[in-house]
Amino acid sequence: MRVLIADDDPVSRLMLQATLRKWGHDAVVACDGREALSILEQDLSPELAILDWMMPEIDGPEVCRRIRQNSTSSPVYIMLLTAKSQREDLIVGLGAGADDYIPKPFNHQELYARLQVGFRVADLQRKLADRVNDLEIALMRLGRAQQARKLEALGQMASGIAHEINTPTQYIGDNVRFLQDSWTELRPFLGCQAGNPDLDYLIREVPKAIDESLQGIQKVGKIVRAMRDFAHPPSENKVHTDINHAVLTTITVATNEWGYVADIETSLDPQLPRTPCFPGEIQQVLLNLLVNAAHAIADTQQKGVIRVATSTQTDSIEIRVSDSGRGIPKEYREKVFEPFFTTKDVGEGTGQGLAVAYSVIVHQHNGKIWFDSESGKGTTFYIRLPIDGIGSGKNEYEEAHFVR
Amino acid sequence: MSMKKRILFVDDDAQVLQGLRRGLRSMKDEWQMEFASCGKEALDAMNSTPIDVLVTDMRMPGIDGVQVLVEAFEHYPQTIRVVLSGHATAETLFRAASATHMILIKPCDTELIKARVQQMLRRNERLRDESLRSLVAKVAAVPSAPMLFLQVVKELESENCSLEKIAQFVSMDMGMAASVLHFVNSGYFGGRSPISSPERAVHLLGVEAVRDLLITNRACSAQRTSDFRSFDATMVWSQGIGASVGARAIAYAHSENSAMADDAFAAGLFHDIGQVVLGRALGTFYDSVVERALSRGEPVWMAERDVIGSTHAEVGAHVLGLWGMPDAVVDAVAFHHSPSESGASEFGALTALHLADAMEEQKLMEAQGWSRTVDRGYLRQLGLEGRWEHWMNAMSKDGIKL
Ligand SMILES: Nc1ncnc2c1ncn2[C@@H]1O[C@H](COP(=O)(O)OP(=O)(O)OP(=O)(O)O)[C@@H](O)[C@H]1O
Ligand SMILES: [Fe+2]
Ligand SMILES: [Mg+2]
Repeated sequence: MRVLIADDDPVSRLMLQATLRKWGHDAVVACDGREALSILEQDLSPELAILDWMMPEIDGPEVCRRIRQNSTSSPVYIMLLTAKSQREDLIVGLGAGADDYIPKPFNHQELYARLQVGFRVADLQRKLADRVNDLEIALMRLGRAQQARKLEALGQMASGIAHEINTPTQYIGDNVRFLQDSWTELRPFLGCQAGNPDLDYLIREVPKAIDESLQGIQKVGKIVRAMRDFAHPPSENKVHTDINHAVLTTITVATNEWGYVADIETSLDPQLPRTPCFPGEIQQVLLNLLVNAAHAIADTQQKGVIRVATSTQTDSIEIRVSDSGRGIPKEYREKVFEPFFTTKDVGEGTGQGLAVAYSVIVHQHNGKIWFDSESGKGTTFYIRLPIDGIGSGKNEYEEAHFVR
Repeated sequence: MSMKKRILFVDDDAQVLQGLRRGLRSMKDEWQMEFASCGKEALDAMNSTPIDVLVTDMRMPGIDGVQVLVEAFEHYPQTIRVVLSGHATAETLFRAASATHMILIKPCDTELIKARVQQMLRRNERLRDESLRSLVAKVAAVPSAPMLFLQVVKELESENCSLEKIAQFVSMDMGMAASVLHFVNSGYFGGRSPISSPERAVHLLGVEAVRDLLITNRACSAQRTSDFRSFDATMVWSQGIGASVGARAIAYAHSENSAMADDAFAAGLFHDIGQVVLGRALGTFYDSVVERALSRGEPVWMAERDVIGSTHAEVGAHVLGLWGMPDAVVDAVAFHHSPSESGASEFGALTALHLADAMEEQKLMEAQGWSRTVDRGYLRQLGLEGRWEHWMNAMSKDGIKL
């Protein structure tokens, strides 16, 4: 076990260190509270700390307080070493976050017994922390798998529907064209009937009805194409992808999500180079951003606008998704990329959207994702993907980093 | 008046056929339309009377679209073969790639069907001699230079294969370039306007699709050494590379219009593709035509015109047209020996190609000034006659390697 001994008195420090070494522990020492703190905040910090109560500047209880406040430091079992044995002091010490105390001068057997208790607790604490960490990772993986499955299902449904409707759309269109041609042929025969109000009406309205039907069919055609394009099978390698096309198909497929709350404006760079990426994953990110934007706008109770833009930068391409929604409040800005961070009700949000976006863009594509937001005004998310598909700076993907 | 064209539509959905019959009624004076509700019926119809255009669905029970297309190509190569499908997979389209002229995706407006089919018919008739047309139609693709083909195969197999490198090799090879452009321009990517840059075509397709198309489905293969005595096909390849780079440099020196430069590049690369096609279609007979030209010291195209009746320029334009190449490229190839016959009076890919071709020839002979094969009247008309040196400089600036 690693043990920290913090005491400003060199004699008792050395005695303690010698005793602990004899018992087979790895004992490090600190001569004051500041040094103790810095050792406890390091990686691989001691599992147990024995802190002298009275130390200059930062005393033992204060060290406890600061360590307990710092959420990133790993758990440590703290024992306060004290000459005073009054009850009040004890309460202050435990209140500051100590786990136990040892009266000074100490009795060897008592110290031994109390240390055993401490080690047992410290060990359990560490195990528990590891377990929690494992569970968080598993939960996150599960969440991502769930998202991926959802997207796959959506893609399959989209392509299934596309397959079902492209054939009828073909013959509806052909038949309407036929009606259009036939009307042109028939029209001269009706010319002499002027003055009949019903006939006048038909002569005026039939061509319009045909034109509008043709327009409708064209629209259906566009949607069918988008649905078909959305559903390409997952690829194992990055493919050179027309990002503008991916943007447009995702917008079309997600119409149901934004259609009632916002208008979409696009400004896509016609010179955008094809970019090596996993198209399915990029579409998933776009979908998540669109859905978030739509939700943020829905919260304002007003019809809003979502702007999607692409542009070419020196060695990357940029995708921007802006909304006129409620914005991300200051206190959440640090947190939104964390898995499971959500401000939405159960059933509405799982807090996976941006975590997945981050992992796809940063870890899979070596790209960047960030945002600007103003409360009450709206939010813009930015994505950059390297044009060469490699990007600078290697990124070692370590899921655990991401959880903490 | 020309005879009505026979067009056969194949689809397993009766309502689609009814729709097409009604929707295309306005073509009734020009087209004689027939309908088959399955692959078997389609093959029977083709066997009984030859058809001009085949428009087929892909997914059908029994004999599917791929089979219909391939059978049609083998037995009636001169038919225009069109896919009209709603859910054709990339895989099936690749398999039928060299047997397909054009892909239309359902839902497809009848106006577009009309326009595209008419365009193909017009392009087909560029070559008037019908018997030559049917011989040429058997040539679905031209082979590649073995070196470049192997480079591409190697690159495709390498672990971190680079699309850039593949694009470079493909751009230097008339066989592979024609295959990728043919597929990209066939309509696989929807109704976008045709492109002429092999490099862009490779990027549009991506590594996987290039592999599927060129290697797996053998849309292209390496050239075998031929037993011709006079016709040297490898010369056509190397001159293609020289002319492509030269014509692009000239076009670019004239105006920084990248579309025209792309067209000029493709026109240069493919300008003598007709010779390769004739070599494959006519075999040793074509060799003898070349021999005749060589022994008389006249340009090959004159011998072709006298003996075959059509030149390699016309044949080249014909096949490039059927492969969906942009008009500017097709016209440039068609008139590359005698541009004044094109009637065009503005600088274009044709001009760049003609100049590059003429200058390549002079360079080979280490001569100065306009070669004797240059079309003086055309140069005069465009006001280019006095500028030999200017173009020569433009060409050498781009560093032409053979
Ligand atoms: N465009 C935005 N405008 C305002 N707030 C946003 C925006 N995007 C994200 N947020 C905030 O960030 C939180 C996390 O977003 P994230 O997409 O990760 O999860 P979610 O949308 O809550 O749930 P899920 O996407 O899993 O359904 C959201 O709950 C929301 O509070
Ligand atoms: Fe020629
Ligand atoms: Mg979300």
